[in-house]
Formats: sequence, structure tokens, C-alpha cells
Amino acid sequence: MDEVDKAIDLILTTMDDLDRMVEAVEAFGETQQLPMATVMHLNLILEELIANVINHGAAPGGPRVAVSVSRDGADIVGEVRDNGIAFDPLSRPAPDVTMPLDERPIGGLGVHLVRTLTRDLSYRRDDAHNVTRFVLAIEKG
Amino acid sequence: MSELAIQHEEVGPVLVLVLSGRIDSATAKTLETEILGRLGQGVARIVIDLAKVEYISSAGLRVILLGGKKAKAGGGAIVLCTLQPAIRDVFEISGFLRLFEVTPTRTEAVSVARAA
Repeated sequence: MDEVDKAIDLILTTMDDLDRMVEAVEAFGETQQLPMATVMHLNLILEELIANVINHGAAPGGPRVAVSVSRDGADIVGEVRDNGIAFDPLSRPAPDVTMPLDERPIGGLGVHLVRTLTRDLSYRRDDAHNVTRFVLAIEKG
Repeated sequence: MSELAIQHEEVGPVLVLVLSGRIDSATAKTLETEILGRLGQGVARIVIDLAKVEYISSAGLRVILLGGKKAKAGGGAIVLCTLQPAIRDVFEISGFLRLFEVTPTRTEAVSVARAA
């Protein structure tokens, strides 16, 4: 009981793999009987982190993203590990969400969503890999 | 499977897009082609009905933002309606509830879009 079950364990190399991830997240949600909002937030966090890597920071040989997610009591803990160029998603400034439509920049929302939805978010560079870890609190109710 | 279906309805000068499914990295391109294409063809007022949308990521928000800017530049607007709570949360976090008119019914959205 000391070690938590690894409930999602996937390798993604293109955004076409997103479907497999969505299926895995939904299956995990059912097994763990998670509220729909939590399943949606988990999906969103993973998609944003993965899209960042695959669309922007791929390694010369192509991206390889390892996703692992498990439950830890009242939390979901996850890790996204990729071989892309060094990129700390937390280094990006938060977008100014109060700007009017004409001036509002297009980018930066993905990381902002991840920051807002997670209870804890950390980044480290480890042996030529980016490792982003997050903690998502399971919604009550 | 990640899928997004788009139905069209024209109410006077207003184009209503009724979406169902997911707006994510896989499907956002379809929506982008639809919205930016229509705005490029002289449509200036678009209502997006999100009642049957269960998921949206930043890839989808980007398209709505691009569309909103383009519609406004053309003297029109994009109006959103019938958001599910989970979708509303994402719009709230993103500041989109300040950028777009959001109405509880499609009829109201069409009225707001007509007046834009």
C-alpha cells in the first residue's frame, strides 16, 4: 500500500496519440470513480503539457513524451517527461486576462490553465529530459 | 475518440454554429477553418452554441479568440451561449467571460449578435 498504483502509463510521439490519452484518462476516471470535472481537468492539464512539448519543443529525433498518472488519496499526481529542448513552462509570465479583445495576445493560455487548475506544479531538467509534475485535487461532491 | 461536429443555422444576418463534442488540439483546426472562413466571406455576426461541448482546451480558446478579434475588426461579434459549467470554468479562468458576451439561451445570443 506504500506505493501508489500507476494508473496511466503512456508514451506519446505525435498529437495523433491524443485519442489514446483521452481514452486512458476516461478509463482511469471510471476506475477511480472521479467526478466529471476532475476527469476534464486532468485531461486538460495533460493535453496542454503534451501540446507544449510536441508543438514547440521537440527534440531533433522527434518528440517522445512519457505520461504517468496515479491516485494518491484525495489527489491525482502526474508526471510528464519529454526529450525536448529545455523548456520550463513555469518560466512563462501569466497572460493578462483583463486585456480587451483587440489587445489580447493569442498565446499563453495553456500554461495559465495548468497553473490555475493544479494544486502544485513543478519543473526540473533531468538528464536531457524535461520533467513536469503536477498535483490535482479531486473535486468533492 | 476526439470528435467535433458543427451544424449551421442562419437567422437573418446571424450565423449560428451548433457544436457538439470536444474542441481540442485534434479538432480545433476544423473549427478554425469554419469560423475564419465564414468571417472571410462577409459573415460578421456569429453565435456559437456550446451546449453539447463537453471539453475545450487552449487550442479551442485560441480559435475563438482569433475569431472574436476578426469579427470585431469587421464590425460584428462572436456571441457564445449555453455553456456547461465545466466549459464556463475554463472560459472564466481564461478571462473570456470579459471578452465575449455569453448568454443562457441561443435566442438571446442571436438578439445580442444582431445588435452588435
